[in-house]
Amino acid sequence: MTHKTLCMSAIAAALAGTILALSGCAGRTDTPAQVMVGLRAAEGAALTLFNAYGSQRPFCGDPGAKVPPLCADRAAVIRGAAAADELDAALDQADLVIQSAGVSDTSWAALTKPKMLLEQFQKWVESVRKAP
Amino acid sequence: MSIFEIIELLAEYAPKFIAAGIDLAHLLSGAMDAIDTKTGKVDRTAYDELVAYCDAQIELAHRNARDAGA
Repeated sequence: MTHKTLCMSAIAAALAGTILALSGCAGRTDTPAQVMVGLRAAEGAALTLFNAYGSQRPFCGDPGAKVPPLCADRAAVIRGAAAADELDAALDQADLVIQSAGVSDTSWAALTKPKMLLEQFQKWVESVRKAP
Repeated sequence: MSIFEIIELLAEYAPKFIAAGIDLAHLLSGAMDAIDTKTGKVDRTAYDELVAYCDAQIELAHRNARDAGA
């Protein structure tokens, strides 16, 4: 069984609700490019959850709508799309810097803004999905 | 961020994805393929696929926003 297969098995176990046993999957010293992969994966996950919320119809307050958070609030959907744009642009910008500057202080510094925006977006999505 | 941390992050999301009826496999395989487990090098093609996934989600967010009256 390859290293990668072992990690995938651990995830399969996690998805099945069993104890996550990921020891041995740890990677090497981080590089800015590796951090970008993690940030993109987190972006994709947060966006997917946001869209699961935002795709609910009818919208809150419309005839036949369920109660929040089982309906999507129009203002939240609009605000979330704008926040997602800002996050994605910051990630794209960091990506460009990392591609040209490689492993450098400049690259690490470029990650600060997208990290902050991602954290804000994740928290906001969680709050929206739990909103009464 | 190491592969371990990426997996940990996605595993944290897994119950939420399952609850929302979302398939995590695509995102997971994209992230797993993007870093070579032996060299630690980032595979640009796999990374670009991850970015394309995010772009598709951004597009869906825009569509929902338009539906919402933006």
